Amino acid sequence: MSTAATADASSSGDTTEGSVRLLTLQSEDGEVFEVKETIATQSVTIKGMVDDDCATSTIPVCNVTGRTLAMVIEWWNKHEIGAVSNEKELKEWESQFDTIDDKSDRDDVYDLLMAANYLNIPTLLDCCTSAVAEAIKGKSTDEMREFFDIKSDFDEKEEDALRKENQWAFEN
Amino acid sequence: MDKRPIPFIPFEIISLILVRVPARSLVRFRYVCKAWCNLIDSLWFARNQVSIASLQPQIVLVPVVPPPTSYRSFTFNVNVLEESSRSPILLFSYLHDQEYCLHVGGVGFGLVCFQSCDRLGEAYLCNPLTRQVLVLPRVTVIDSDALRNRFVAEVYTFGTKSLWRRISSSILRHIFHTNGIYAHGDMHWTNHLPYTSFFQCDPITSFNFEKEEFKLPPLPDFGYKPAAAEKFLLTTLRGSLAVVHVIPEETHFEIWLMKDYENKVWVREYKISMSNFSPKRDLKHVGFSRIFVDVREHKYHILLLNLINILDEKRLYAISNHTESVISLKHFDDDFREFVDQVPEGCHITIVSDSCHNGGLIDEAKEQIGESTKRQEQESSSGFGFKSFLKQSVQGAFESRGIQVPSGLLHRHQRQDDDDDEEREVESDFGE
Repeated sequence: MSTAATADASSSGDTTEGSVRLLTLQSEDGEVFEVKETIATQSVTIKGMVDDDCATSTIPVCNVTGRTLAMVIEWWNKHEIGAVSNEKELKEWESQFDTIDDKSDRDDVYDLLMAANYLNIPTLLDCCTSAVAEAIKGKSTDEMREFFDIKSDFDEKEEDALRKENQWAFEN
Repeated sequence: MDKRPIPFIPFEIISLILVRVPARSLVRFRYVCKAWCNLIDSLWFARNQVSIASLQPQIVLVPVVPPPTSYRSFTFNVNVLEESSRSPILLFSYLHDQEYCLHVGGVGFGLVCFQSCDRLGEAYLCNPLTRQVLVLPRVTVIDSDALRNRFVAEVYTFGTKSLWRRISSSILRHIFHTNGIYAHGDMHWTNHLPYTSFFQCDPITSFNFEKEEFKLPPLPDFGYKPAAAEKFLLTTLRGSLAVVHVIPEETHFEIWLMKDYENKVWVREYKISMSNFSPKRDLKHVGFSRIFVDVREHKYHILLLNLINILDEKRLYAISNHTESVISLKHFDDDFREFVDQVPEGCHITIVSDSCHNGGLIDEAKEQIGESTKRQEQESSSGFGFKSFLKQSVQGAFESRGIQVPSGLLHRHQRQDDDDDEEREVESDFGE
């Protein structure tokens, strides 16, 4: 039964785009994307679905907006095996995050991070986490709390003690 | 622009981000909140941070203090050579009020180990970045008569409050010639073979910490039979064990990397011509100058470091590859053992452990706190599989409490230096 479904899907793919099968992805906000299977399987999550023959109908990608999914697909296209030299591509991609302090850029990176995590795309997750790491290095403790919207749960005494312990790290 | 609330970022992703941040920033980020502090202090984190950061190693320079005749105290200065400045930054100096000298016994995992030159069995471990210094228990001095012509090693496991344990091995029959080189989780030494060629015997000894066994890994196949006088240098490159081999009467040297450590596969990564630089003229002061080959992204630069100019003191320096790490030596404090000892007989301690990040309890399923109660055994042995997955899922809730019990008791600090005095000696800023 399942093998028949696969054969059927790939033969219908023949008519559309060579021998490449197309997958239909639907974002959280309803946008629909058609993506080559060979590209979309850079996502471990989607690859699992394809391997289990669950990818025959539209794949809902919850938690990811159409805008973000378009960026993810752009990433996939750039990182298709043999597409562009990875290193140069990475540099170019990273340069987008140079101004990560800007609120909208920051949101983009957050969205991509979440999408890369949800879809399990190791290369994208790697790149995004490195970009954020690059952006936050050298920042102060308070800047970090603001950046990630974290409230300190140390009481004043504890924090003073901790700071004293490594006073030099707070001197600029 | 409308203010979109900052989305919730799972802690899992936070940890993936933080592990890529330079160790110097992490020292500050520890104070963001308790969960971050526990994360950054965990062994899981330290291990991963070091393996990522080791792709861009730094160089650590430690002046070797000459044997003192009139010294009433010693200092050791740890200097890190940074790529940006190309000049060493004095990270800290540690003052000890006793009368003896130290030499560098080994560098690895962001830590530097000092051994006493004249008091057998005394050693110190320090993390130059966090400025923690841990005095190691003394090695029991071996009765040399009983052990004639036999070599034994002693191992100390942190946190067990045990003494050094003796390990003997049939393949252990060499005196190590170099400081240990840490790579792939094992320690490596060049064997000292005074009357034979390096190439006729097994030239490298390795030690696996998990299995506590010695091995004799092979050298690369240089493609010809090396002459008796040939030597090689054991080092690390991008986290891999590396061999630098200068071919006699040739105009180049080669750098081999052990790419596949499991199967001991060596790959020749670089063949560097020596015609690009003429070190002979610059190397007049042997011992005070060093050549560094800076290799990254398949380009290389040759850097001649004249230590006299840089540090302005005619002393010998121990120089090693170094990767700054946030590993806290407080881990190895024995307070937890003391805490367990205080518990009256018949009582159980239930430990809720965030075993996802503090991998120590599960990864290396060795006993962490000595003999344990049944309940603890269950806790750690059933940590694999589903239970561990469950733990991971509720990790957010337990994150800040997981290791709380012992950490509240860690009052005794190992650093013995006087902070206020030390701060003034540090000239450089540590901001990035």
